[in-house]
Amino acid sequence: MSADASSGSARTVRRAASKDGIPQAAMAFQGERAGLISRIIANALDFGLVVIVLVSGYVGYAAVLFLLSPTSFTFPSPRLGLAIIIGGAMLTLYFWVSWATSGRTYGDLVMGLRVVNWRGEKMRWSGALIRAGFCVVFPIGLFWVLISGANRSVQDLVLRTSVIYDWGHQTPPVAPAH
Amino acid sequence: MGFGIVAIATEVVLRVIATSSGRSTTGEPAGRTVVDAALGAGWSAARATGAVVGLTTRMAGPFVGVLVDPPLVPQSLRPATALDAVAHRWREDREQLTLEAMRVSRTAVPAVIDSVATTLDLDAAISTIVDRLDLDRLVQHVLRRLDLDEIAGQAISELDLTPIINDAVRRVDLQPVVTEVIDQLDLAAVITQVLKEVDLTTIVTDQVDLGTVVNSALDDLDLTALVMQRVDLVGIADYVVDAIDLPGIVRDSTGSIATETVRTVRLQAVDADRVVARLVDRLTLRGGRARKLGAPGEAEALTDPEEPETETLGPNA
Repeated sequence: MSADASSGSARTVRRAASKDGIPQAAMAFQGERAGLISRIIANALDFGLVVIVLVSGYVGYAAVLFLLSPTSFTFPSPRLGLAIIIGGAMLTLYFWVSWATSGRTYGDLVMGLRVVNWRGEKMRWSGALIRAGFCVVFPIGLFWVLISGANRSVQDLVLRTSVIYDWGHQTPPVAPAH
Repeated sequence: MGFGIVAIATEVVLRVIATSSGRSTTGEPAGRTVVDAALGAGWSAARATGAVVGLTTRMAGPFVGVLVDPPLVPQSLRPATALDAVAHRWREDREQLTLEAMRVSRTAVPAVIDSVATTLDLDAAISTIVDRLDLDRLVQHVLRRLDLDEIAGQAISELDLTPIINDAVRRVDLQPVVTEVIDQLDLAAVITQVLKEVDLTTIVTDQVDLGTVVNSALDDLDLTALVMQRVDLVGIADYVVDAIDLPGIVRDSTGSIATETVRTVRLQAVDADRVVARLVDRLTLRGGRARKLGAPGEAEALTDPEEPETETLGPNA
């Protein structure tokens, strides 16, 4: 990793941000690694979104059961372990696809964040999958952002990724395969 | 000559008599031949008499002249002197006699004409005359002789047309006349031609007090009731909504509000990030070491020769 490459990616983010009509007050920190509060809010939004999807799926499942047997219908009561597994899988799938395609989830989009690899580029599918599973299995790793001197979570340190402020709408290029 | 005139007059009188009695001389050749023969004989006799008289006059003229004005006879004894005296007497009395005759004629002629008019059937006579006239040729001849423009102009200048026109307007039922005129006219073409030749805008702006007109009209009108009665407000509202794309405006305004809200939340979150980071840095006694918040890879490249150190967020930032 060269210094030119890394600084070039930062300039790329700012240049793209300047074209997206970002207010002047926000131009200074475009491309910087995001802090804990922004990331918690983004993750909360993503979690809520997945919960909504899960609840919707539950209601849809219950509706199907009601239509199949209205007289003997009772709301299904899934086991907690199964619910956690399904929820974790949904969250992992959601993070994976979001980071591998646009580099940001819905929560990241709202908070103006983007997940990039060590070169400042969009993650590859494999790296996005590993980071998604790591985040779901070890969510408390996020709080390492406070301790880290570079606003990095445990997942960021292990996988050499970063969550940066990026209020623009341009998706960074895909990282070349190594 | 005198007999010729008398003969012609006789023939005319005979024809009139025949016509009035229902008999036509043209329908009876024998009778007409007899009349013509009689008149022809008379005419020949008259001509022969005239010739004899003329010859006698020419032959006897010199002798009569000598007898009337014999030479070597005293003037007072000459017959010519007596004749001159008679002629002079006539010349003196002729004027007085003429005046007397005219006076008599003025008295007598109306009575005669009245008597003739009473006696004759003037209508029939005039009708006969009119029937025999070639009125077309006569009228054309008269029209050629007349200067109609001058006559008409003179008549118009001398006439007071106002009472005539008013009287005519009172007497005429104008409704059918106007209806007929309107039916015959191409009103659209007439009005179009008039409008082409008239600058209505200038006339109206110069001659009409538009402010007064509009104010008066507005005072007299109940615009609200008029609009409610005559305007399809629902249709107009639908048209306006369709035309201005109200859903699009609502969507855009809503999106704008949402965008502004998101920006505010993001900025507050960034501020919160910095506050929390600064607090933690103080608690962990990180001291003067600044957080390395630069772009990915900055951990490996602590310095950037081209970028100023704006990315770093120190504890006192």
